[in-house]
Amino acid sequence: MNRPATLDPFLSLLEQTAGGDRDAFAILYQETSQRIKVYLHRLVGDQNCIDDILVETYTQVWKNSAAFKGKSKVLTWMIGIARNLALKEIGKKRYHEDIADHPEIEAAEIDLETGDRKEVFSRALNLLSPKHREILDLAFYQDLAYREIAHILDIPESTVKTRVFYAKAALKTALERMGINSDDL
Amino acid sequence: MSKSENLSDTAKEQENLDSATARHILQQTAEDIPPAHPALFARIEESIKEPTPVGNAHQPPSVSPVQALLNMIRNSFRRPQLAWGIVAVQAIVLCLFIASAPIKNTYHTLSANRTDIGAQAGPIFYVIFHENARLREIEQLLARTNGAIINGPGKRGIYTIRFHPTPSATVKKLLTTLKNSSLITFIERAY
Repeated sequence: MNRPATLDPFLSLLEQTAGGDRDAFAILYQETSQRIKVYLHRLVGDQNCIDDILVETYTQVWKNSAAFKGKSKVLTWMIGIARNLALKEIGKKRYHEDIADHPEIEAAEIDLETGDRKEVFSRALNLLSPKHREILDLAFYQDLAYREIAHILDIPESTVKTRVFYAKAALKTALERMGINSDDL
Repeated sequence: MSKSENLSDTAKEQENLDSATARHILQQTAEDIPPAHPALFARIEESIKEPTPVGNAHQPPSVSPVQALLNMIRNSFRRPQLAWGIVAVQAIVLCLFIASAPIKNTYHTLSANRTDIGAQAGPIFYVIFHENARLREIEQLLARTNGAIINGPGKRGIYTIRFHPTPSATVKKLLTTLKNSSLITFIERAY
């Protein structure tokens, strides 16, 4: 193993899973499924599809737990599995769609004080390409290091940095299209 | 990177959405995503009814030697330095092989001084050998008839051969012998 177990909270659970411990697998599922679901939600969007991918992801985690080599954190490895399955589902074209592909979205008068902030943010995120939503999720929700993100996406760290920059810019543009100045947030 | 480029990047970053805001948006929106339905785990359990995974989590599953070799080759292509190293070694081995290989022609051309029998005087003939005649057979014929190639082959494959007849083999006999030889398709005395 490349790192002490204390740095990876799920390593011990995965090791027990590899030994055939179904209880450990259930705990691993409980502790990670929401994060993976959120990731899939950002990448795929379709709820039914997400459930199917989740089932397949954890099935593969169970089957391949003994083959985990510790080259990344357990969660990173699991997200990588989920990602491969999700990309098969959404296809390459949709993955690279951009905010420019949604010219029909016009500015909307939204009052941030009325409590529909989350709705606004969700709509703004939905304007982004899956590629940009994905990188924002990995960097700012999953809180993964650029090195870990690079491992999942199989791209250089410098590309991760650039993609994060453009994803943030796209999110800013999306918010502005909805009449929201990001400085006011 | 130049200082101005750094400044430019910094300026761009300042104009962009700040990371704290991005983090806030991502976390707020995640709260609205409902957790997976409990029935989902039942589906997963259903799909993992097979035998449990084996071995230590850090040990890759055992593979056959052939599979291991194939994996090693595949992995080498994922590491460009190793792949290029293999290519370089192959190139060096190939060069050494070519350099050390003996130079061997696939055919020989008879030359004027191949057979030296001291035939400095005697009748001269123009000869064309049969295309399937072998070098050894021609040399044996020349030795038998005391002949020596003194010129050729020309553009049409004509050799000039000088013979040194012995008392027992006159020029006439010699000509008959040569004409009857299956190795010769044309022979004519040169004057």
